Amino acid sequence: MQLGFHVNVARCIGCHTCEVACQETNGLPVGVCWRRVRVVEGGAYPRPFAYAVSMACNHCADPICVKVCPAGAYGKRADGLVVHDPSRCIGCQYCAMACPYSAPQYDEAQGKMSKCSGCAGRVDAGLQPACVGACPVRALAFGDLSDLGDLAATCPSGSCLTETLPLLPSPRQTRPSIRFKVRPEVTLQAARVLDGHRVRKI
Amino acid sequence: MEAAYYTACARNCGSKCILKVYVKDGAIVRMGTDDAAPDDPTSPQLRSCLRGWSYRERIYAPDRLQYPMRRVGNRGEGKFERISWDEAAILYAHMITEIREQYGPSSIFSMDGSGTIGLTLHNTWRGLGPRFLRMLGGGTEQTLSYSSGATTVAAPYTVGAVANSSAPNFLQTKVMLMWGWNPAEGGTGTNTAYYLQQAKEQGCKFYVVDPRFTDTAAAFADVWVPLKPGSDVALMSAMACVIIEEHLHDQTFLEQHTFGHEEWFDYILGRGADGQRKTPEWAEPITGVAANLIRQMAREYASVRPSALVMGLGPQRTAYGEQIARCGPALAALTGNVGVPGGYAGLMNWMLAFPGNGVGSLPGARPGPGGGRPAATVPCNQWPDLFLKGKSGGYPTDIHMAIATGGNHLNQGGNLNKAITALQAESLKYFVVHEQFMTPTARFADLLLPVNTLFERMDIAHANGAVVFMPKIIESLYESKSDWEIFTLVAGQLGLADAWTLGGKSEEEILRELAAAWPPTADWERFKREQIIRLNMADPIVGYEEQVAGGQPFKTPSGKLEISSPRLKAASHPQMPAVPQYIADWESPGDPLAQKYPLQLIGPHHKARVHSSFHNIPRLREVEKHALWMNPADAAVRGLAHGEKIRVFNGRGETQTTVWVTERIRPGVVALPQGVWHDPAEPGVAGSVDRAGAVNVLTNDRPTPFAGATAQHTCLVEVARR
Ligand code: SF4
Ligand code: SF4
Ligand code: SF4
Repeated sequence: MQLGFHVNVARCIGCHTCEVACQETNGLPVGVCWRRVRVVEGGAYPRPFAYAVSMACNHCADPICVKVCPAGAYGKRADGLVVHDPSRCIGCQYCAMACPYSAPQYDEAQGKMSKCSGCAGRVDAGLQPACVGACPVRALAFGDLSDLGDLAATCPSGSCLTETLPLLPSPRQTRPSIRFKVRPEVTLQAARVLDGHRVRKI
Repeated sequence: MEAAYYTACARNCGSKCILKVYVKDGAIVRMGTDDAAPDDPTSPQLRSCLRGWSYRERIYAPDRLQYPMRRVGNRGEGKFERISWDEAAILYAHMITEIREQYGPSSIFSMDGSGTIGLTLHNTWRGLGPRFLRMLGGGTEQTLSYSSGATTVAAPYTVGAVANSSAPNFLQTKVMLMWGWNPAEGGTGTNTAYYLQQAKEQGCKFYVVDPRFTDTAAAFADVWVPLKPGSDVALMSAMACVIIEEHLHDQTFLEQHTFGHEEWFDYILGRGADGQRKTPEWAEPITGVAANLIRQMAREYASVRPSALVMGLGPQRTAYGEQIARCGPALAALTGNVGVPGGYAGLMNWMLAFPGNGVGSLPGARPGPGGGRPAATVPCNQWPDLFLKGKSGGYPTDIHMAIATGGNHLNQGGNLNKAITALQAESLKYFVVHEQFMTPTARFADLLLPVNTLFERMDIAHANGAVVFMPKIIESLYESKSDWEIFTLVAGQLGLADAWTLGGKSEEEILRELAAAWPPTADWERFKREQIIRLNMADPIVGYEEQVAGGQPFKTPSGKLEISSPRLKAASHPQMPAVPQYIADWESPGDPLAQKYPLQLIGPHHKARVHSSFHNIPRLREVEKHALWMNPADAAVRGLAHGEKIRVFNGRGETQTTVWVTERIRPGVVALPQGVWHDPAEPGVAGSVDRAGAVNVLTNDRPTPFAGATAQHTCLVEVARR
């Protein structure tokens, strides 16, 4: 079993509700976003394009954070969720450097890393992750990746699901447990990625 | 022990969502959203947006006003001293009595805002402030709204009464024209974007007409049509020209359901007084939209049925917004898309349609039997001019006292610096502000009263697809009180407590009686327990279906959709012709002022705010930077790089912000999202440079010619590095 996310990039309107719902549910300080909504922009006036990608920890099948953490703070549960134990964390930030998806984040107030747990507590209580239940357009789904039929209910043919997007690192690195429903723009050359107030040129 | 309750958001974004609130030891520990029923596509959960998720921080914000205060410095300086509620109530009652005795009832102005809206008891919008003045015998009340003023006045000349359709209607739409409409960022109804995405997945084609490539354009647009602000009627007229000349119009519909289309055809086809055919080539230089794109959009809109032209409200907040509000329905009627499932009537009033309910409304909150009347009325957006000029400016009254409830008028209206002088006018003897935070408007108060939040009082919400019992979840923080309680105190001082409270009834007693009027909420204890009564969203509401399919008359003199209005013809107002016409805006590219201030400025809604609400929530500010959107071509001319510090200025004021260089906006147009709180270098000094990027130091307060509505998106500016 491997739990993971299905992100419908074609549906997402970039509203950031998932991001704020995660912060609120998990009591995160301003600036720590376990889930982030990044906006990819490209094209030129009068034909620009933009699409948003909502991503958190990918609960990888081969999680590098688990391997690099010198304190043994990371663990992989039987259901595939990768969880971080702050009581063991020494705040060395190795995991942040190793993770290709910038999932682990440094919480300055605590002096420790923190990361999306897949809402493990909620999942154990039979609930959906908060972000999934918050999305106003139902662009997020969560479940066992081997059962993608359910996850991809909004995807007319399974073939439009991909494991990765052009701007993401190769899925071979950590085998992320995430699937995307894409839109045509993802094949176009992007110019920049917006991440909150930050702009990363490509 | 942790407990959880549901409640509903009551902000003026155009939606009304369900919130979940977790409480422990009398404090709110966490927010959630609607999970009270499974998320069924035919009855989807009413999920809140990011703003709804941020309420805990808003409730416990460090800048919550805590106790009543009296001004000690100059107005606008923001210097206050703490007083008791007893002192505040006595002072408030004295102010009212003095002004009424000296100047008469109409000299007190209700500056009620839309800060709390969609509830049964605690509404501020056309709510408790006006009700209080009516109980005294009437004051001056506001008409229109900053949102939809031109539509409110002009659309009825065409359609009689504005009727929206519900979002599930779009599941049948094949071509959608989203015209200045941005539901991805700005509400207009819970789940609207969700229904639109389902329509898209079913193959509906989307045109998005907007000077900005908004999040809505990014998510939905098959074709983006970046027109120049204020040129909407030229674009619609050119579409009409193509449709008529290519015989794509629905002649049967025009003959059965409309009045006076021939006269509009004359205008479009160049047989009218101006002798100008409104061809796409004519419209191209005015709108900035290529003639062939106008043709394509016109053909597709007219020939693929049903198609929906949905206008947001931004386009009509321009100089001749009245024409836009009348031209949309004319174009929709031309193609037979009014009153049919999957169509749309080409106009909008604030939000899409939702099923109604039978919960009663608060007695006295509307004029009529037992409700009293206003002594005078003035369009809301004209208050600065009204305060400064009064009768000498042609207004029905002079104003000597204003009571602000649930509003941040100083920040949100056109020409903020003029509004400062209006609040500092000596003729304005008293300014009372009921507020939750130290807003730019609150800083000008003579008497500033702390108001509690919707979590600290009981109410019933008219949500989008549900009626929600809103319990008092926590005690009022600090010394704050609800507007209801504040007016109860002041009414007590004036010997009117019984009139205000309907004979000494508690809030719960009043709500219970109003709920009794509707069977689903009549069992009060059960309603309190179950909290949410869901309404039938599955069956689409189609605006004007009764008129078109049901044979009912439109509420116009002819009973038809009046493309030409005999009433307007009789009125013969030079800027309000009988058929909708393109009239070039003031402060537009053709104005000589454009030599000095060459950029058209618009002030769109920001996804992290509802007007000026939520500005003070740090988490939400992180989501997207507040900055001036500018096309790279305009930035290059000014030597500006992305992220540089700039000043934006015109003859009315100057604001400092940063420039956000983006391909997502039309050259010649800049956009500065409205709602950040004005932060002048010298508080209380009109004309002082604003450091927050507050758009309204730049906008104009000149009203539209016929409706007298706000035209804040008609504005020219220049931008330079600082
Ligand atoms: S995304 Fe990063 S943090 Fe999450 S499991 Fe993979 S490697 Fe670890
Ligand atoms: S699963 Fe939970 S912790 Fe992870 S991003 Fe979603 S809300 Fe945050
Ligand atoms: S809540 Fe949904 S639509 Fe909004 S940004 Fe997240 S995934 Fe996208």
